[in-house]
Amino acid sequence: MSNFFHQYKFLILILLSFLFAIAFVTGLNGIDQTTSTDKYCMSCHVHTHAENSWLQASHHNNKSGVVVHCVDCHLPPKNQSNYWPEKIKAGSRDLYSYYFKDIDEINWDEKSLLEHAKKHVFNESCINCHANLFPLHLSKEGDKAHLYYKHNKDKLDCINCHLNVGHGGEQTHKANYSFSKSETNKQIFTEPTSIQEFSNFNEQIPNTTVSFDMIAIPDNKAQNINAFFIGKLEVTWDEYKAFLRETESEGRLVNENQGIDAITGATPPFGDPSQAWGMGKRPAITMTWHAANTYCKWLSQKIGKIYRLPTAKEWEYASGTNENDDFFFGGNASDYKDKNFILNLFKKPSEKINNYVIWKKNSIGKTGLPEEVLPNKFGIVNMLGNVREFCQDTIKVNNKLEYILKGGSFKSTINELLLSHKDHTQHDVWMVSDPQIPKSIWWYSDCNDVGFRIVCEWSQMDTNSSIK
Amino acid sequence: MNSKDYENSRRKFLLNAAAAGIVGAIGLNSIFTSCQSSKKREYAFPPMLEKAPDGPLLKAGIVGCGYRGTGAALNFLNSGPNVEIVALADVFQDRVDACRQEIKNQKGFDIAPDQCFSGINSFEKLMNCDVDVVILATPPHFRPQHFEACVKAKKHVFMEKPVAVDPVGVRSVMVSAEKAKMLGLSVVTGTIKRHQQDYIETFKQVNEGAIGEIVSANSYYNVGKLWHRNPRADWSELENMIRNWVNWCWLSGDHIVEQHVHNLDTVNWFVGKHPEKAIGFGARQQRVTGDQYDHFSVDFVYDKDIHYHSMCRQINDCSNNTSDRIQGTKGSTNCENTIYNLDGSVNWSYQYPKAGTGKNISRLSTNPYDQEHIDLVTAIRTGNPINEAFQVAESTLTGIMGRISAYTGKEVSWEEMMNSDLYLGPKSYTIGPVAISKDVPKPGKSPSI
Repeated sequence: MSNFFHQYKFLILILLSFLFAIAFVTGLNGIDQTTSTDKYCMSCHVHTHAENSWLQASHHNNKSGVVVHCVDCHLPPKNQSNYWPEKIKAGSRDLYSYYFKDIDEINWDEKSLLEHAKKHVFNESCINCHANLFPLHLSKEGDKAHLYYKHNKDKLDCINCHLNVGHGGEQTHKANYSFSKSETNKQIFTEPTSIQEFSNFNEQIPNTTVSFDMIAIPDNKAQNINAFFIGKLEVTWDEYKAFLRETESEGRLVNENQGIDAITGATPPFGDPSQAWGMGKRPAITMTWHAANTYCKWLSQKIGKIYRLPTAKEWEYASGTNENDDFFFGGNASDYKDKNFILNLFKKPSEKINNYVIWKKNSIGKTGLPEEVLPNKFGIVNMLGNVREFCQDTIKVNNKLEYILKGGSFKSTINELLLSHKDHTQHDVWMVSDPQIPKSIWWYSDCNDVGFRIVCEWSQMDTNSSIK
Repeated sequence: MNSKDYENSRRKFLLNAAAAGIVGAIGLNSIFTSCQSSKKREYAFPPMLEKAPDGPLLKAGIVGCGYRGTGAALNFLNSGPNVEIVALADVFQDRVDACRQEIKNQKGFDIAPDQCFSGINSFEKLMNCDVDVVILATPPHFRPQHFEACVKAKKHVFMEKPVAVDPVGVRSVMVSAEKAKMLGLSVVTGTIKRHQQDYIETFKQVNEGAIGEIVSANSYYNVGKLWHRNPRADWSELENMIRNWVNWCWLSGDHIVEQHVHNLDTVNWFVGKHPEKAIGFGARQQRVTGDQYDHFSVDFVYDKDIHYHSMCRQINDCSNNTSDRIQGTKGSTNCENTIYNLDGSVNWSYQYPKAGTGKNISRLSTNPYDQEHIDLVTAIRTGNPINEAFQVAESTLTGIMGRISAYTGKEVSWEEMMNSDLYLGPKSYTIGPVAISKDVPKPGKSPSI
């Protein structure tokens, strides 16, 4: 008998190996099937919110009756080599969250933003079903956008443009011509505010319902800074929309302006520039530096005062930071930094910063309203955080002209909030997914945390520039 | 090796093999197969039959009934059994009449008068006719619009080169090409060398490494001036321009695009890609009609710094030359029929058939103009669609890139071309004056792309 084994041990080894392989694969397939059902995905409660929004979305509720399951989008196609690694990764992440995280604390709004969603949706999977990117019924804009995608596949994801198709009832690319339409039932200002003395004032934009506060910043001879006014808030959507209503080119009727052959002006954005976070007093975002600068020119013309973007020097001065601290509300960066586990036990990072700044730690991934934070010593709100702000100063980067940005944003880490942090626009990078030819000069398609604050020059600086 | 060693190594092998079996079974196969990169370019060759196979009646309509449209109609009728021309469209009635007469004279076909249309929008009427194939042979300016209409109507297409005159048009053709592909339509284009057996066999040699790695290329299309038509007072400006189209950039794309595209396409084909940038110059020394240049000299640069010098001229009484040359690390080729060693001796040459019956330009057994249509009808009838629109769109854009570089005097990149909104010609076509600039471009002074 032993002789028999000895004689055929290679054969037996092969047979056993194959049997093992078959059992392994069959078992694996079984596991795979069970763990790939929608029911299984929903069962661990980490994703409870996801079910309803999926049921309403076009990937569940559509004309064709096809139902697209969780794993169809959130894993690569099964025949691809990264299927198993991604499946194991996703499974482990969910298990970890299930056992070690407070599920109510997970901010799903933040997780649904593009930067995060990109990690959980696979282009190959989109293409696996949507193999025909050029169906006959596609609109001209769709044709152009898909051709642009075809030639820039390495730079683009499907969800750059189709972010909301998997969850929620929203359609992508809904017409946005109406986003700048005026609200009614509000007082319409007729005259700009006239200022006689150097003190804070409320500016009113004529023929609109919009006004905004300007803060007087006294001169500083030592730093060679003249007195000026600066916006209490970053320019809000209310303010910015007043500008767009008067200057936007598309959707305007020519018969309002008889004798005019054509109108030129800012084009409306390709998607929703507010990222669906709300407008009102939230800072206007995603406009280009050129657009922000044009806004200042428009405002100056409309009001008869000199409005412009601040210089970096003015901005830093107005931030109200004293020499001994990193921040205007006191303290140094290290006071607010997460340390390692052991050190955190001795000294927790200070929470004080959260009263003044909308930054990575407290922003839930979007811009905030002004009332969420306290002002600095001049009365200026959201100087640090919320959105990065354009300055006049320029810098050459790879031989291209870019503009200096000051202050961090809702995405910034503690170091990015420091005055010493160097930051500038990245025009080309922020335009990658804009499929229009030529690309818009008014809107960044890929940067949602820039905005601006305006400065008004004080014309009588020699006579009286101390605060009344 | 003693028997023990042998046994051990065999055991190891088997263990490894078993392990590999498991790995393979759970789906890492794709990794191994995707690693098998091939240096050879993928290229589908037409079957190059002498006649297209028989099949159900194929009915074609002609859009653009000038010299080439009429020629293409006859080539289509030569392609095989059971093919007909059933409809004609042209801007000008006299062109329609002449084409109809020529087809009748040569082939005995009488096209019904109510299937013959003239006027600027005549192509729309032709699209509504019962045709399977549309032949597009108008001036290139109109191609993107016509090709789009054909694909929308799900027609197979033969279209003459080039396929656009500006980047906007090229991108439109690219989109229509994608749609045609998705609909399984066949599209053959007038880049004729891709339907010539001698070029194809030479390409195969190069593709298998006969000249080694490609290091550089050059082409000539130096010929005399083409025709022109003097303006007539009883024609509007639009009619005068269209009748004289090979002299107007907005209609032809200039001769670097309209004519030289043959060479650009050949070199793109052999190199296997399009150039990344171009720097060139050109001017107008002898031409008096229209707004085109009469000579260009352009350095195209592919990635890996492969330079391709292209030269084209349309001036009488100069040295003429129409040829290509591609230099590789092991030899060179004229692309047409010969592979040369580094010392200039012949390594390989294409053996032409002894008693060629081909007409016009060739020693090949089949006239390549007919061959294009044989290949189209074969593709339709055998259910193996071919789509040459992508490659001709790229070659057209290559020419446009060279032209713009010469017009502006600036280096122009492919990326700039793919993002340029340059559109030439009027926005709409009405019989009357044409509202476009007729200035001849001046390098250094012409507006950018």
